[in-house]
Amino acid sequence: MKENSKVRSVKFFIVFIVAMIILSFVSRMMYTSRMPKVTTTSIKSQALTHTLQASGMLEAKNKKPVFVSENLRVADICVGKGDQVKEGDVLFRLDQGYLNERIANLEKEIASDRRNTSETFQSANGTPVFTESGLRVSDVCVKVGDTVQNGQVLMYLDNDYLNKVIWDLQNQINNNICQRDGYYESEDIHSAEAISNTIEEQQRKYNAYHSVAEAGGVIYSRSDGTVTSVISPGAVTEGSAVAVISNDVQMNYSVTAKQQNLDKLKSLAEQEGIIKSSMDGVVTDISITLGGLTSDTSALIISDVSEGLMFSAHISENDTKYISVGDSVSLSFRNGKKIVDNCIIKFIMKDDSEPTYRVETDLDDTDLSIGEIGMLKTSSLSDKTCETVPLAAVTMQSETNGYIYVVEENEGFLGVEYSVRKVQVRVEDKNDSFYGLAELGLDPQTKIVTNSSKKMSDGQRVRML
Amino acid sequence: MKKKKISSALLYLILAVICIVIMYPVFVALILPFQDSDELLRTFSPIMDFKGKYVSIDYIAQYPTLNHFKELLLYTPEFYKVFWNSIFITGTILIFQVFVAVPSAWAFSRFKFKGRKLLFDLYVIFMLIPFQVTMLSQYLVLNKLELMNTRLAIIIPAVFSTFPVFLIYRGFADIPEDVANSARIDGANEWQVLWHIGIPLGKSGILSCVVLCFLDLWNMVEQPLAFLKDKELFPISLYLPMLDISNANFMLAAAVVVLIPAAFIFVIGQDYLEQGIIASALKE
Repeated sequence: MKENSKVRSVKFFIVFIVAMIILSFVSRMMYTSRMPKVTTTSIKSQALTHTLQASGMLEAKNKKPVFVSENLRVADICVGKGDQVKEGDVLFRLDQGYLNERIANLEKEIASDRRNTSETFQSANGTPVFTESGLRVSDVCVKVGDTVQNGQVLMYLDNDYLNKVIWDLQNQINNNICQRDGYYESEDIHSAEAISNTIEEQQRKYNAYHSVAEAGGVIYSRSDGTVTSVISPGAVTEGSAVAVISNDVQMNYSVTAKQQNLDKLKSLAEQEGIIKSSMDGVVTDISITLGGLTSDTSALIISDVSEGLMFSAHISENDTKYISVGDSVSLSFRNGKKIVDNCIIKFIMKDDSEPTYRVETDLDDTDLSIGEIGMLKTSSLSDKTCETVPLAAVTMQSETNGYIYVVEENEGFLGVEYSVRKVQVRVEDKNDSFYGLAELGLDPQTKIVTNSSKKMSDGQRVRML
Repeated sequence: MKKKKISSALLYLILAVICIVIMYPVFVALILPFQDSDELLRTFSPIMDFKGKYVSIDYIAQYPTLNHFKELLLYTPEFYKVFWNSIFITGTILIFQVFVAVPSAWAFSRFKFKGRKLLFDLYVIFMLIPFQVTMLSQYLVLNKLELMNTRLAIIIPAVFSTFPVFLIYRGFADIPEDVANSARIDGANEWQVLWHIGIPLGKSGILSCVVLCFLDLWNMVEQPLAFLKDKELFPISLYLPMLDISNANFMLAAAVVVLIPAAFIFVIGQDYLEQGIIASALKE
């Protein structure tokens, strides 16, 4: 019995040893399969090269956009993109009927606006124009909203009416003088003095009327500005101003705009709706369509190639750090078949409506033509040297902060083993391939993990490929 | 009769209590690895951070698990590395100890030569001297021999240990001289007498020596700690202390696995151990 148990124990022990042998291999396999496989690189201390590439287009140096009023129907477009035009060539025609209709509607609107002058104009500081009361206005030369200058004729008085008023006044004065003399003879001093005051008043009025008559019965403006109020023709002047001129007018802008628009439309109507080119050149952009309405942007652009070509591209705000006016860049066209080197940047300016910057450079190559798409390429070295690692090595946690994994070698039970340690980094610079990091304090021979087959954690053992 | 029964019962009671006290740590070591990590953390938290509360052990695990054994046996190749280091070191020492100690013990037990008693007394003295006393001299010798940080630094001093000689000598001393003489008369030389008479009859002593030395060598700590630097060469007795209380689950599972070979050796060699102990107690 004891021998049996002893034999059994020996057998179990042998089984145990065999199991441990097998598990030795199995555990090694399982352990290795769990281990991330990593590729590494070293830290390089270098200045980063920043390559800027931007696509753009060739344009003429001299370009003129052609504008027309908004909302006019296009009846005919006489040119196409790329067409050569000379000064005076017809570019497109507007629908005359539509134009005339617009003009008529606009005139009605403006007249309606002007009838209600209190709504049309509100003047903060007005210069009133006075004349003697009791005179009839024969003709008014201005209207509300008109801009006048100092000394400009505002209105004419009825001269016949004026002369009659003067004649009547003269007679009154003469009669009053005779009456005063009579009071003096009768020694009615009080009455004589009273009538003397009347005579003086009448004499002043007479003198005023006489001055007006000598001026020809014309009322002039005494200042520059805009007419905000004016008496109507045929009205008799009273004590208030016959006109008010203001140079600080708060107007209803729609009326002014409408008026200006009306003037433009009338000018177009005079030209029979024909829009002509004002210069020699090439039509490079047409934004109107046949039968469509015009808009506030340019209808088309005429470029004058005789003054040369320029290349323009748009870059982001971040790219402006790597390019400046005066830099030499290379341009490539036609999928790299045509390369123009040493082009100097002439102009970098922010676009109005876009969050980009416009870059322009002159081009003297005559083989190329307007509208060709090209690529601007330049590279610059950053100012200072920093410790650089490949982009894949850094895991970013914010705009400037991230972490890398550093491989550490240590002696373990299985011999030389590698483990990773997480190191926080701050990114100072970046290009397409590398991050430039703030001083890490690491040995230059330190291996940095660039790629891992599995997710890693701080202190984890890894396999180096 | 009654008095005898009472005294007998009392004796058994005392022995039972002693047995429980001795067996209790082993029992705890066997049940704890089956507890989940959270349970173990609660159990050992007073050790890690004492706040007036002592360790309390759940004898039946609330959430029993084999995860720790799975993690140890399937995903920890370094455990096997140290295990086989221990097997290699222990096995090599035992084999060569037998080769060295058996002839020495036979010579001491069979031959009467000048200085035999003095030499044997020296062996006993060396057996009693603890390792810490001879550690420095051993270190210097091994360093001079350029054996430091190698397995031979552990193996060679242990092979020439005096303890096995002492144990095997007792086994050989019990063999009647007549049996050996009769072999000599038949024309056997001393090696043949040793091989055909000494070893078969002294087997119990040899095997008890092997069992006791295995248990001693399997748990050997000082020599590897002093003479080995590379973790690759560490035996299992140095691996377990490296696991700290935060890896308690791992440590307990490893301790159970380490216990198994020693248990097997003990079970297999128990009889010989008893015989060896009895033989050493008998007076000729």
